[in-house]
Amino acid sequence: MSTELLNPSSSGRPETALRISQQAPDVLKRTAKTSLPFPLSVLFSSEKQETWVELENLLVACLRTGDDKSARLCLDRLTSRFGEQNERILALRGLYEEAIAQDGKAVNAILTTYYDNLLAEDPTNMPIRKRRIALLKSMSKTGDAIAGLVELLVTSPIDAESWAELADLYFSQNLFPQAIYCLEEVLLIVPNAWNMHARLGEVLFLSAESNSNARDAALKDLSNSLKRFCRSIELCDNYLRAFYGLKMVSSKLISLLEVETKTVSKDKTGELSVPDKATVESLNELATSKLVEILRKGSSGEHGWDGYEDAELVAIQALLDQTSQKVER
Amino acid sequence: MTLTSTTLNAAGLLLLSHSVYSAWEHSSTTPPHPASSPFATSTSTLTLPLDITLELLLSLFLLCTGIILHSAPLRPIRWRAWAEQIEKDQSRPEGRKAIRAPKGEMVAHPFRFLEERRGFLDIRAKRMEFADWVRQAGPEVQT
Repeated sequence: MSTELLNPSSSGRPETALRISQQAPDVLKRTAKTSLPFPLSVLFSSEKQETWVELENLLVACLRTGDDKSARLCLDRLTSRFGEQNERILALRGLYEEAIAQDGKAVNAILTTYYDNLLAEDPTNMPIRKRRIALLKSMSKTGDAIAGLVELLVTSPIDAESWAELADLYFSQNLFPQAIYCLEEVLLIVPNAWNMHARLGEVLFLSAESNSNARDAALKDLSNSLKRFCRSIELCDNYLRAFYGLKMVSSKLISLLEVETKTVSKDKTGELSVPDKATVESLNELATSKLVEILRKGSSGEHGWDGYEDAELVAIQALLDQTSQKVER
Repeated sequence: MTLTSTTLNAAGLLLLSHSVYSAWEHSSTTPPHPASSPFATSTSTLTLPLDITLELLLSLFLLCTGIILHSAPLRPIRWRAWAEQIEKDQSRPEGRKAIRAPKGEMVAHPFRFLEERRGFLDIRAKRMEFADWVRQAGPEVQT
């Protein structure tokens, strides 16, 4: 029970949030403050770092499910431990205020009075700066959010989380080159992040889709995307997301390479070269066979192959059906 | 597994304490070797009987085996295999995870924070999403 609270997997899903927030009474009782006098409290308190991580996760889950009372209790407990001036606590308080704000006016008030005042006092308060950007995004002022994030990244260029957020913001505005640049920055900071490699592959693929008129640019994006998915597979065995992407990209790339047999002008050294058709075809075959294997073993629930979600398996089935139909035609 | 390791550990501990006790008894009851020179320390001249040494070694062997059997399964040593398990654990239910955290510790997906981005959490959108979900799946949740 507490493991899930500590490390909520697939926390994006409402079911998980609901399950976690339902544990609120238990957790709040368990972590209730014991009031020992000073010297004893130092010697006998069973305080652990995990307690506070749990409380923070609980706070967020409760805010999501609308259990504002429990959220308030969590926040109070964290505040009494770390003090009101702690940067993280300030950000959590902002989060709480945002969540319980009733209308646009109240939200605007949080932005102008709470966040701006705090930043005027201490412009280096990173959690608050991030919250301010998140609130701007939430108010659909994406332009302001991007400007704020760029400014933040000028002062702290090794913050991978901010780069990833900026990539997402650019992506939401269909600014593909900017999004790709930001994701590349993320990969400079965390070069082993297999999910980010796959993400970059996806964005490159969509970028190629969007400018399908310019063939050379599309080819370049697609071959780059192919490499990103391959790297992602290299970093994580049986990674469904990357195999799915590899299949999509290689199919697209084959159809593009078929159209024109004329060889693309040989690239200078250092530039990304377009792979030849045989390589792409064998990669396509590899991805297909792997997807078939994942589908077969995953849906029969074979030992060690249980970690795929049903929706993912359905999506593979759909993709495989689609391509096999194309072949028949 | 647990029973075997517990038995082995218990037997090992028993033998270990017995051999230590025997060694102590032996050293306190046996007089120093008469032929030894007066300058040598008493411990160097004492020789333990072979059975005590063997008992000690056996107890160590039993304890080592028991402890190894009792320990959690080792994590994959190759990055790819480890990453696969971490990735699949995301959608595995509690109790069927491949990589178990020792009690009270965290084994998290090391790169999920890049997609989750807690620092930039848009709580208002999440609340709305949750409310929509409840409206759609409401009857299922309540039953």
